[in-house]
Amino acid sequence: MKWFYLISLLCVAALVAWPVPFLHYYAPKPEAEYAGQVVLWDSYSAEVKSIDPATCGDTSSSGIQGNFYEGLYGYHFLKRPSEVIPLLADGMPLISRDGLTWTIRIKDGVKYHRNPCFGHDAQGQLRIRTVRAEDFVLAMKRCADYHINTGLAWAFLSERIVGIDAWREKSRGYKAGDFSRYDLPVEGLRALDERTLQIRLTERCPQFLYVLAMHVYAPVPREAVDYWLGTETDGAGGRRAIPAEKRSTEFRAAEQVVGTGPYLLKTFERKKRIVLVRNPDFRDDFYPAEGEGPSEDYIGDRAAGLLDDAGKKVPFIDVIHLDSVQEQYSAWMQFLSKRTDMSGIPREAFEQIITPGRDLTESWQAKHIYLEKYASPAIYWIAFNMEDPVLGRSKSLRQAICLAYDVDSEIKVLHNGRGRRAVNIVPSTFKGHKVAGPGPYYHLDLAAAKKKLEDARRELAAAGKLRDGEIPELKIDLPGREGYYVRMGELMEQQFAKLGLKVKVVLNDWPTLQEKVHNKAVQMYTMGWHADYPDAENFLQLFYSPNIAKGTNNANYSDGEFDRWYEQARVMDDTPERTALYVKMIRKISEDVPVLLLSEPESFLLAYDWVRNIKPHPVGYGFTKYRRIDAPLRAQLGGR
Amino acid sequence: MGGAEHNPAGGTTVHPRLGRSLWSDALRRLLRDKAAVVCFAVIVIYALVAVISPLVLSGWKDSYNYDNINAPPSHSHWLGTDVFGRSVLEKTFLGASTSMTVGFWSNILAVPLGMILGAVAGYYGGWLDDVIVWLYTTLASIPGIIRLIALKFAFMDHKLLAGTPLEMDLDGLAGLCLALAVTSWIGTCRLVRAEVMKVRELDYVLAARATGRRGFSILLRHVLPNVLHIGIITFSLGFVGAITSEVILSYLGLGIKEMPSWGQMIDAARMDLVVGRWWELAGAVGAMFFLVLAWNVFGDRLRDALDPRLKNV
Repeated sequence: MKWFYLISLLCVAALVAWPVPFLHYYAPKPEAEYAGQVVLWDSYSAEVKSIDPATCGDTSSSGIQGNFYEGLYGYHFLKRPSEVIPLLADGMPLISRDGLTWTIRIKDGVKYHRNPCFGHDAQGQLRIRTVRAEDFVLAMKRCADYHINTGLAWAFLSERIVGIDAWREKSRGYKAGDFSRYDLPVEGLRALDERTLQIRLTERCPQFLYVLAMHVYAPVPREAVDYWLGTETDGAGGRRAIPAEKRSTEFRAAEQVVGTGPYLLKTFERKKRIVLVRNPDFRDDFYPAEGEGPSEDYIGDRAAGLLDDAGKKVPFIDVIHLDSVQEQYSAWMQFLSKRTDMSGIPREAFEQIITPGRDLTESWQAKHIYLEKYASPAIYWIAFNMEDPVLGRSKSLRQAICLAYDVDSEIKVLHNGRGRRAVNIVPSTFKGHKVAGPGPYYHLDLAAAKKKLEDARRELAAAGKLRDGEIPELKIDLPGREGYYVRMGELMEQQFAKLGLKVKVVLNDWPTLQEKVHNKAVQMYTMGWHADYPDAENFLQLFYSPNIAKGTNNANYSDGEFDRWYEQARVMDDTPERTALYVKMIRKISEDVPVLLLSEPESFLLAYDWVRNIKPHPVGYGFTKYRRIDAPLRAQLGGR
Repeated sequence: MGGAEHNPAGGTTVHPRLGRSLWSDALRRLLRDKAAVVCFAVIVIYALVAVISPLVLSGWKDSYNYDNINAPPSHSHWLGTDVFGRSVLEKTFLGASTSMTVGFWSNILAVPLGMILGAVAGYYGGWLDDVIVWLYTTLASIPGIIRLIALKFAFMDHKLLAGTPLEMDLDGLAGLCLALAVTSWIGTCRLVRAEVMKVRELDYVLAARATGRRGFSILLRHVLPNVLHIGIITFSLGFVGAITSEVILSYLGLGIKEMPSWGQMIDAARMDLVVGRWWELAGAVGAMFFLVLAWNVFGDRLRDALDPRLKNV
């Protein structure tokens, strides 16, 4: 019997233990896979929604796409204020005297990534081809394509390029899978020759240079569309045509990415990992030799060591390995265990890591970690639906809410003080912000708020909108359900309660809130805007009434005077007259308060000492090529 | 256990003491059991806290103090403060109110529902049994938490009896209780069905049938009282299930928002331990631990008292 028990125990132990060697064998070992290469290890939590330039509309996707897609122009990595520089263009555009015709030469010999869509040569190697002007025409046509969901990319082209809206209407008549629509010309878009692109605008648009600096208009070879979207493998080593009704219109797989950038997308597993590897055919590109000089609050790029690599060929890193880590705790633990090279700071850990003087504590510096602080040109706000029968009708109610809302406490409680109160609709680094000054209702004054509330009662009583003599319960929609939004909702209830106003907080997932906003089925909701380009116009267009239909004026604000000023300003060059118009518009918004301004965020990034050349850019993407990893130091300090 | 009398055959005959019902017998057994008494006392204390705290601490929600956020335990705040500077101890008391309310109402709905359906299925059998068994096996094939989440999503932005004085916001506490009730009657139904199938064949039921009593009357007067102990036991054990489900849902962001709950507290303190802030998590987990332990032990002892045959099973 004793033997029976012993044998039973051994059997159980063997059954439990047998998969272990196999687990070890099959466990992914990326370090071994990348032996001898310099790897940047990082993680991401927000879903990367798109790897197609035309459908890119969020910062996560932009951050990834910037590594393999390039536009005609980009931003200087180091200089501030941001400076536009040629990327695939061979110099700045030639603009006609009337400002309507833009002619752009394209750099000679810029190569796409090697891809099966270009076929194979006699030796069976993948072919390569150079970028042509017609590829930019196709890229813009795809952004205008009715059958592709191109929210952001389309918004900046619509009504700006001659004939592009008509082209979009024509594309609507085609089946989604019928790519022959790309053969239809756009009146204002022409490839004059292989290296010359001409764009004709409907009206002057000085901001168009910034539009061309977005990678969403990166060139797309027609071969990629026809090969990856028009055909599929036939299972016998060849390709066969996909019936038009079954074709996708968007690039969704890693092998379909055909860009010109310094990295190739090797692996794209949306909710698992993304791997980018160095593009062996990338043109000669060098680290900038000039940077930002010293100023009152910055020691300058040279002193910061950001010019140590000046003139060296980029990229420095061979592989960028990104793991999807949804849980903040797990991401933080990965950083602390040196599995990743960089990390943000979780809210809960902030006070332990950052001193009251906003620096890294000594104990954290001793861990060979350094801190990068940067302000993003973004503003968060609570939007009031101006078409709402209560909030839209009573300016005094909106003003009262703005005066009663303790934004500084919100920044302290919800963001550990990371950010500053936004005092007008334009970020503090933008032209017009300082001159326009703080809005009269964007500060805390409870007494004034209560007076305004009395005015609001009268306004609403006159409009017959009071319920039992009281202002009806208000409703605010938030874009998430997790703990952060629960806390945000609680804080909002506290703030509204100071005025005796009841507010119902509704937690939504992001797509649901977007749909509600689109259908104008919200009363108040939190939203924000991150600058697409460094010009106040990018924020002011959010209140231009024709943009209600386009979906960017989400507060549904409509004012004739504001619209006239905006129409005048948007065609003007950067002159004092234009700034004066900007100031008028900013003040108008400050008076009408279609939004309750919350904060301008401030970001804190931690990196180990072996990561060099970090200088976050306010609006541009694709700067990982300048980042350098000191691999010997990483090995010495116990990094991955 | 019972009285004894001399048997002429040389032994003793044991028979139950006359005049003591199942219930008084069970009560006597429970009162003799110290652990059951202590646990019941704990439950009563929690119930008192649940009733009193919303009355005494009605101003807790507005007691925020942004200058004293996340403060560690002190004389003024025995369990420290939360992210808005409010007392965590008071929040824990209010959380007890939420948990007890959820546990009570969800079981008050679920247990009778499970008992009625189980009794009907077990007693009548036939197609009625088939339909009820099909219903609960189908529902049981979906994992409980998934069913709960699905219902919570379905209830979102909906109101029950809208426009009447009994209007209930299904996105809030009422919806949670209803969702828990709708998903947790299955266990009771199964047990009661099995017990009724056994009971309906016993002599006293057959005798009642022989006297010409109608089926429904027999079910109501003779069968159901004899399976009532199952309802009581599942009520006590279901209470624990409801409390833990509420905590899980709150952790997933689908719980109650209008009042503090232990799940919310655990969710809020998710990252706190990493940076040494233990008080909010400790408050919620500690309070939950004692209540769940008390309910589990009491439920167990209650089962033993009501059905002594199961004592050593």
